[in-house]
Amino acid sequence: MSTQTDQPSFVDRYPEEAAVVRRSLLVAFVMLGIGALMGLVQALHRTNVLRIIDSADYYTVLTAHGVFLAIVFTIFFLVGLYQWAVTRSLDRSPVDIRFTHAWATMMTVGSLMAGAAILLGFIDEVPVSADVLFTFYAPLQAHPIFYAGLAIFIVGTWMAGADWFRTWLAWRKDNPDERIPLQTFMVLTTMIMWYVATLGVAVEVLVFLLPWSLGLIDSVDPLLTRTLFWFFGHPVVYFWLMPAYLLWYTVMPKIAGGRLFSDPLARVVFILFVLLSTPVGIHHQYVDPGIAQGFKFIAMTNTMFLLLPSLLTAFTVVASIEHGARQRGGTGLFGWLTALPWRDPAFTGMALAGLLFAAGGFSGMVNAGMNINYLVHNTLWVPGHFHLTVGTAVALTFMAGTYWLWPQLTNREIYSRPIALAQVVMWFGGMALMSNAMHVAGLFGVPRRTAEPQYSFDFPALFGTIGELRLQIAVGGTLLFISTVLFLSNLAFSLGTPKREGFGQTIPPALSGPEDSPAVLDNMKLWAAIAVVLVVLAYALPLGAIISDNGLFGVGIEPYPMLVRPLFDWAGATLAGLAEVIA
Amino acid sequence: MTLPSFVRTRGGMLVGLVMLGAIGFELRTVAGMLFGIDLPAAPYFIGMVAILSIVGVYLDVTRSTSPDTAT
Amino acid sequence: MHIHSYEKLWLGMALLLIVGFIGTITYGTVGAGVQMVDDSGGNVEPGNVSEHEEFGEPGVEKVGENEYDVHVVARQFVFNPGSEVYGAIEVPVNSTVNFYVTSADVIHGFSIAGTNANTMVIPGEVAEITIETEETGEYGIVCHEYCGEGHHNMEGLLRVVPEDEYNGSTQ
Repeated sequence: MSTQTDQPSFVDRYPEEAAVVRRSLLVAFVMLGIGALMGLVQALHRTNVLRIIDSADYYTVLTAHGVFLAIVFTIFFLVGLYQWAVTRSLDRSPVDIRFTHAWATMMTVGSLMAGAAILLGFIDEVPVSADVLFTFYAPLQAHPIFYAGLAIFIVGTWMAGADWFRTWLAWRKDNPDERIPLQTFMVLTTMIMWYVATLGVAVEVLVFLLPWSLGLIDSVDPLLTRTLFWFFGHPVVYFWLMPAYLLWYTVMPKIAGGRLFSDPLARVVFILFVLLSTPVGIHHQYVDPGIAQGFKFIAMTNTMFLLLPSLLTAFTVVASIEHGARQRGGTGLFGWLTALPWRDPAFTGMALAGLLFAAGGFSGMVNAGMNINYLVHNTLWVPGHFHLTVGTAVALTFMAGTYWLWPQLTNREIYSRPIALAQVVMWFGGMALMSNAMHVAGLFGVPRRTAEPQYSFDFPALFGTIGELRLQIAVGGTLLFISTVLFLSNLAFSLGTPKREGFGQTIPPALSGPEDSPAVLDNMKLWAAIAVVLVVLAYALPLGAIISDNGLFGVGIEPYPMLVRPLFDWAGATLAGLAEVIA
Repeated sequence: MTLPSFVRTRGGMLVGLVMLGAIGFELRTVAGMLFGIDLPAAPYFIGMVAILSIVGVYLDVTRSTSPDTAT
Repeated sequence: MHIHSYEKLWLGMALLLIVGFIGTITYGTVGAGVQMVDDSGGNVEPGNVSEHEEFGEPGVEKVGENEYDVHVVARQFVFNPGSEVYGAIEVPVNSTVNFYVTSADVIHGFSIAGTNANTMVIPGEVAEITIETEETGEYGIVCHEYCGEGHHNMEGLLRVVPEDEYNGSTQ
């Protein structure tokens, strides 16, 4: 956590930028609260512990959980964190703060539209619904405002990226010979990846799904739109992860008492993400009919090489915190571990997040293993995997980072350190329980994305019982919810702690600085161009094959609007009401 | 006796015990999945929690009687 | 560029691990012959499934010595055959079974619980998977992709029976 120093804090130096960061985090945390509540409802419903909704409404809950947490919470935290990182590391304001407010507003409006479309699915009287889950696979069809909201949200993120590039170019003019500061480097590379990745979903939504939901085109091809979704759907996971990496690389070594081990390696890692994040999306489609095996094999090898940046990160981050521990007086081969600031929730949260990320990485390698994937595809193993990655490595790091960042944004201390520590530890414990049980249940064949715990046949349990796995999921999910409530209430109470001066923090330079790395690493145009070439190589042929088989819009595909039932209910109720009035 | 520094605080103890708990929990999965040893859930988990509680209480008592106690 | 010697070692081991993983997958494909679902099943128009030569009358068909083709149509929220209304899919043990699965409406999934028989079912496409029946018994079939509000009711049954009990019909 931020301890008091004598320096002016971020909010003292950049009050307007701090306000943008605070507002972005606020939206993120409101969504975290709603999403977590949905998660609790799901965990208790599908394990048959407590059922307060119809099984048909489970999918509305699931859509909200996925979209609110995986899209809105993560990305709003990202834009807040990145605004802080760019302003801090370049030590300058945006070129025009009104533009900054404009993208923040657009993203909020887009989220509210998509969020409303999802939540209105609970109210049968209103013929608006978007029970299409996070992946919105056609021909399931959501209300147009869901797709429009998504589009506006994504354009908002594009503007945010443009804003940061603009700030950087202005800085570049004043500092023509300096290396890009590491945090800004991370922001810019993330956004290059994002521009490439979001092309897929932008085409999917703007060319196909939105016109189709408005009735302007009759048919869309399910395989093509799904492939475009995964064009975006895998790199988006790195969009969640890269801000967590930014915290691990730049903030965690500092709170461990040391400094980053290697600045050049950090740059290499982010460039590898730019290059390899997108040409891998087909690994989500290993068992899709209509895509030739060769394309799947290419996606598999690219995916495996994507392990490299994460393995390098493991080395650099562990080496950096070991350095910190030794600065704090730690000794011995492993003895230094005990010298780390384990009482500090910011440190412990990030460390535990990293630990579970290692586990999540290993289960991810199983997913990536093309033919092994047959065993786990669309089973509960998969959500088990991504609750370790986005649900812990990312979410827990964000929460831990907030404990460190919040005082610098508000000049107020976090309300309670012990509660914060209990919160991050509870997240770790709850996730260890829930995710382990989900992985195991997945191996026994239990599917994901279903409201019911049991089918008319039994899943073969290799050890233990399915019932006991369900119980572990329910208990783990409850612990995670309590942990979220502790986080949010601790933060809410922090709004009332007295204002103080001197929460400023500095980030020490790396042991091995940027001067050790070749300047070509900072050539953004080059990396963007290579990334585009790799994407074209990976996607031109599969997309071409799908289009030549099915045409651009598919053949005879009927839409299945997810608002059919509520619409009939609504019409029926209206007619009945009318009949009553007439009689 | 001298304790490793991280158990000198209640926060450090909490982190350590929860990590031990997670490892204990995973061990049962390893036994079941890799070695086919089906350890019954209830006695295993109750035993594990009991052992961790005893360790926790022991460490806490040693901590508070230790001369170099941190808070 | 300065790289610490431990870091170089780690980088080398990481690359070795990655190449090793790719090697095992390649072995699985080439050596063990685990083929991925691909575009071999061809295309079928979802609206015309009922008029399709094979999918019009889906079911089990003997195509060779110990080899069977099973055509399955998935639609909200049943498998035909497989689900209770259509009857379980029945095949003899120790045979090769080729499943051809397509969808008449939205995206579905088709997996045989507890085995690695697992494919997406996408309208317009035919998924082809081949299994060897090694053990008799009843296996649950699950739709593992969200397909609408009744998704959790979409299931089926595969019955692998001893050769002498197999009577060659779907029931």
